[in-house]
This record gives sequence, C-alpha cells and structure tokens, in this order.
Amino acid sequence: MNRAGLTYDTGALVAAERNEDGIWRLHRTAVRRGTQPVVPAGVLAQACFAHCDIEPLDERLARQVGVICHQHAVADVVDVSVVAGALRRGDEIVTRDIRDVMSLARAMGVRVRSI
Amino acid sequence: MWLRYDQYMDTPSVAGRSFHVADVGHDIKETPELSPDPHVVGDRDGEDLRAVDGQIGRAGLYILGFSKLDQESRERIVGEWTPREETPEEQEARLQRCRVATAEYDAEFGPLTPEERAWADAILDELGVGVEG
Repeated sequence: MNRAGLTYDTGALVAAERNEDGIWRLHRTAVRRGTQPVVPAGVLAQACFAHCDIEPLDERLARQVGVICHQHAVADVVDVSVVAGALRRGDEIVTRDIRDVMSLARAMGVRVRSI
Repeated sequence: MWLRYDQYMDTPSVAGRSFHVADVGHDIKETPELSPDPHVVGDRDGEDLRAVDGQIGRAGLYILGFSKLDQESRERIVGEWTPREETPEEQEARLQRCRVATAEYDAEFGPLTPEERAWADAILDELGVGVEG
C-alpha cells in the first residue's frame, strides 16, 4: 500500500497555534506513525508548526504554480502551491476552509472529509 | 464520511435531512465511500460549503483527498513529473526524526490518551497515512 502523507494548509496551523485538540491529536499521531507532515513555504509565512518538513517554493514549483493559476483562474499562489506540492507527493491536505482550494479540488473530483 | 465535489445533484433527503449534497454523479447508494449521513454540503455552485446541523467534525478541519488520485489526474494539474522515491537511508532518517519528535511531544505535553490516539488512528488508517510498504 502506498504511504500517503499530510500537507498542512494555513487553517491547520492556525488551529495548532490556538492549541485546538483535534489538530494536535492528528499531528502527534501522524508523527508517531512515522509521517512527517509538510508545510509549504508560503503557508509558513502565515503560521508555524514544529516537527514538519518545510517545502521551499523554488523556481520550478513557482513556475508550475503560475501555470496552474493561469489555467484555472486562481489568484492565490499560496493555495495553489499547497495543492501542487501535495499532488506531487500524494499527500492529503489538512485545512480549515475548503473554499480555499475548492475550485481545484472540484476540477479533480477529490474527496473531502471533515474531522 | 466522504464527499466528492466534481458535480452536484439534488438529493431531497439523505438520512432524513434535505439539502443539496455534493456528489460524484453516481447514485449515492452505489457509491460506498459516500456516507448516508454526510456532514458537508454546498449549494449548486459549490461556493457555500458548510456543516449540516452544526455537525462539523470535532476538529473543525477538513482533509482533501488528493492522495487517492491517480498519476494521470495529478498530471492534468501539475504537468508531468517523476514521483521521487525515498531511499532506505532517508526513510530511516525520517523515522528517527519522528521518534525524537514523539518523545519530545510526550515529554512536554504528556502522552495521548488511548481514546485520543484511537480517534486519530481511525482517521489516518482510513487515509492510508503512515502506512509503510
């Protein structure tokens, strides 16, 4: 079975900063299971979370994000960088506001789970 | 519960509630991953997503299931790329970092209770997160 990872959008980090139980339980259990969640660099600018890998927004990813924004008429480069990175890793995205990436999610028919 | 948002349909009543449920375009009864008691609904254009009857998940968060997409679907968005395989050394280093982090969390905040872990394990098991091999 493939090992899926977790990518945190800003909402997940804000929930952690507010010390909300759910995200901490999920995060600590994921780490205990050997998963090191990923925080895209653009999200890191908005909040921080210990024991995560930071995904740099390098030139290649930035260009990819620009193409996606253009093709899908999405303006928020941070949101798109979250999606692009998660797609390349095969990660799930943990977020608070699914509207952030909904246009892309809908285009791809992804499943959404509330926790 | 799982919902997919690639298209919308009217569902007059699901589990006794009336709302527009976001669906995969299949009959809901034929789609096993769809719960008969979905929590997340939206209007027809998908812009007004909210919890039903206040039944937002206890964590107030959502997980978008991108990991379940096949390579072709992902490449439609991000273009062609070769997924990077983790070497055995990288895997061991990751697992070691996770062991250290777990020890630090447990030392600072105390271990999670069995109930707390069971809740998170159930979610992560369903997602396939942290499953090696």
